[in-house]
Amino acid sequence: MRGGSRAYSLAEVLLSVAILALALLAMFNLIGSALKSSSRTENLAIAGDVAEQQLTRNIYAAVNDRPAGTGKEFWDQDYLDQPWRQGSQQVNRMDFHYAIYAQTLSDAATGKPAGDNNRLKKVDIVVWWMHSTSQGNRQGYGQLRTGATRLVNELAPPP
Amino acid sequence: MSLFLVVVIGMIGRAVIMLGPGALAVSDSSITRAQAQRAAESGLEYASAKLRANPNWRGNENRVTVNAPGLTVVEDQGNVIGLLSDQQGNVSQFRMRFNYQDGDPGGDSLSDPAEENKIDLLYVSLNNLRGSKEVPIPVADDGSFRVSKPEEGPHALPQGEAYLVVEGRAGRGLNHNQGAQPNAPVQGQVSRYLAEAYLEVTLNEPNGQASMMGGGDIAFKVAKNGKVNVEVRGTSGSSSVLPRLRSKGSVSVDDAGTPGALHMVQGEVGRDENKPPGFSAAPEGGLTLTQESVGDGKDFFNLKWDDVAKAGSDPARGTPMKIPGGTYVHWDDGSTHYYDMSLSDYEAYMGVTANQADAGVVLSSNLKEVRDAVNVNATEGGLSVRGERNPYTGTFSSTWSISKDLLVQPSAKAVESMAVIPRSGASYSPNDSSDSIALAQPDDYSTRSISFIMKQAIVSANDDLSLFAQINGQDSTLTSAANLKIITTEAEMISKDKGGGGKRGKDGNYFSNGLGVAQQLQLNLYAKKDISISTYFKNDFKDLQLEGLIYSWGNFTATLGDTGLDKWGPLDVKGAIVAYGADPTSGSPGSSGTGRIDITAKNAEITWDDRKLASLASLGASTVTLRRSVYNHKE
Repeated sequence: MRGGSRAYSLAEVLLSVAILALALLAMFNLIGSALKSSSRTENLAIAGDVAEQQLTRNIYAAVNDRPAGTGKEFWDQDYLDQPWRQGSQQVNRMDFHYAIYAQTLSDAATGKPAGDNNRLKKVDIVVWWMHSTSQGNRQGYGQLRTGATRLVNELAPPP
Repeated sequence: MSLFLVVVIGMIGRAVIMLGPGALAVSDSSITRAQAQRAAESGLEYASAKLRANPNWRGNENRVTVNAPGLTVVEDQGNVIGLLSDQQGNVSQFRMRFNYQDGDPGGDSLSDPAEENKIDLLYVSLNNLRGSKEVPIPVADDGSFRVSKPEEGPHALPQGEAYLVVEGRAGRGLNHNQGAQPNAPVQGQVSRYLAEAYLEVTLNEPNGQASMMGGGDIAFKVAKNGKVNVEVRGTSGSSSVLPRLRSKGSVSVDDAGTPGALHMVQGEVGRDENKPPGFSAAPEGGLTLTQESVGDGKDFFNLKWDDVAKAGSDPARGTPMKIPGGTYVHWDDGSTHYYDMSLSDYEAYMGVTANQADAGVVLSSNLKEVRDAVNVNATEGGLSVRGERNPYTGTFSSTWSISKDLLVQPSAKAVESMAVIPRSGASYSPNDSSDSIALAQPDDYSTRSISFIMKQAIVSANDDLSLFAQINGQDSTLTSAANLKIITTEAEMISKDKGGGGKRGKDGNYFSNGLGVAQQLQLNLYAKKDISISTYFKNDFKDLQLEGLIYSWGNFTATLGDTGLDKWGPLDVKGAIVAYGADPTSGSPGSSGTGRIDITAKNAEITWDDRKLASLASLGASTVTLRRSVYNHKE
């Protein structure tokens, strides 16, 4: 050693490596967690889009009776337990499943449709998805779900 | 090296820690904003449904109107608050206010809502679907959220439209809200979305629209070489609405005994070929004939009496002026006299010379002598009936100025009809002087000496309504539960071709010094029986312009000419004429055996123009539908 400085001892090196390893481990965990969180956030946003798309698409079909019979099917029944529409939509190689429910709103006092002869419906959609590997193994944050709701009246303009 | 690694790792760690929650927050915010938007649009849907059910609605049912799983809606004096939750329990809210929150009752004619239902929103929704005039859209004062100047606003809302502003909110700050208190103050962050929409009234059945619809025959009689011209203008343009005449009987144009010219460019005439003459006219411009018949299910504008706005039928229009039924007679000294009798009884009474000295009740300008004092005070300024002397000629004229709704009530002798006439009455035509009164002492007043001016007013009678006067109506309506009879003249002082000595108006017409009322009806006429209009005056016939909707259950007759006299005036109609020929509530067009449309005129210009029918909204909703014309993200 020159200049009076001395070399690190083996113990010091080992200790510093250990500290670094611990720090890296913690950091990798943090990064992993952040990535997971980021992915969750991204999928939550996608699920929100799926909910909006499916609500819009299906309400449009009901309001415009496309195909014929869709309007009657939608307006004449309530779908509280059994969904009116259900399916899945793949975005970024992930399946987002959805189910749409609908109930006709009644006037609290008279029990008649809230819009009189122009019925008013509350439409709910639930979207859920499973973060899994390409082999279908569960990973990441598992199953999550989100929802959305909106009102639509029978004579509504196309959304 | 280690230090470098530590610094790099530290930076990464800090970035993760700083950006992670930020990204989450951004995502959360965009999700709650989408929820807020859906909530606002749900509020619009709710309001649209309510307005379609009740065109007078403005959130004033004052109760919980919907209490369903996931939705509670409260209406309180014009403030509407809805609390939505989806199946995941995410709570959102919509709020809108028609209430000015300016005290009881305030400029909105509404009491203030309960304190917990007041809304801190600057923008106020406004319902003018059945309004009769344009109104400003007010904005609340910043801070107090009170509308202190309802007459001022940055924009005006035309009649026949509703303006809706709905605030949608969503986020954790609403999670504590319960159905019982949907408007509780927020406790935490919420996203907000403000949506605005205009709803406007449009006419149903574009393919069934027609300038004229007669449950019986439609018969024109024109002067030699006269013509009937049918066109389409207005917002409908020529794209979807054809020039169209519809009759459940026959359609004919008579030109001195031969089929007269009927000009319709690619028009359509509906008639019953089995009812002679079926179709008799000289078509020009290319028209097609379609078959119609009584009971064929092809309806006309179905405008029921109950759907027609009448004086006193809509509290939002305020207290109507009330006058007793009877005959209001104008003398040539400018005075107004009231007789508690129907027009026919009055004519019979004055047929006895000895009775002609009976002055009846001499009235002052607000008719207070025959009106309830409370009503006179409550509606002050809405009615003025004055006789004025022309300083140049020394002659008098009388004018009814009506700017508030006028309801004819049963008189002391239970008369419910109303007549406004000159002392000597008027002849309907050379061959019909049944409403003319032979006076022992001549009176110079004629139909052109009296002006009946209405501005954004509805005049309603539960029996006959007879007006022998010049009539000027702006956005106004006359309704009669029986017959509506008008004998009117074009004032010579404003004749288009008689400008001597007068001033030229903006429209090119001449106005004389002194009096002048354009003979133009910008109003709706509705009668349960017949409507008849004549412009006969001193062996001549005057012009007539009609703008608006004319609707009778019985026959419609317009007499602007006479073959024997060979005097003619032209007719110009912008809007629509319907002679339904039945009670629209229970009968199909023409089923009562009435519904004839008889028009005698030099020429007839018949223009379907839905802009002139905007006041249909003020008549009723059954023939109209509500359409969202504008949707906008306001904030």
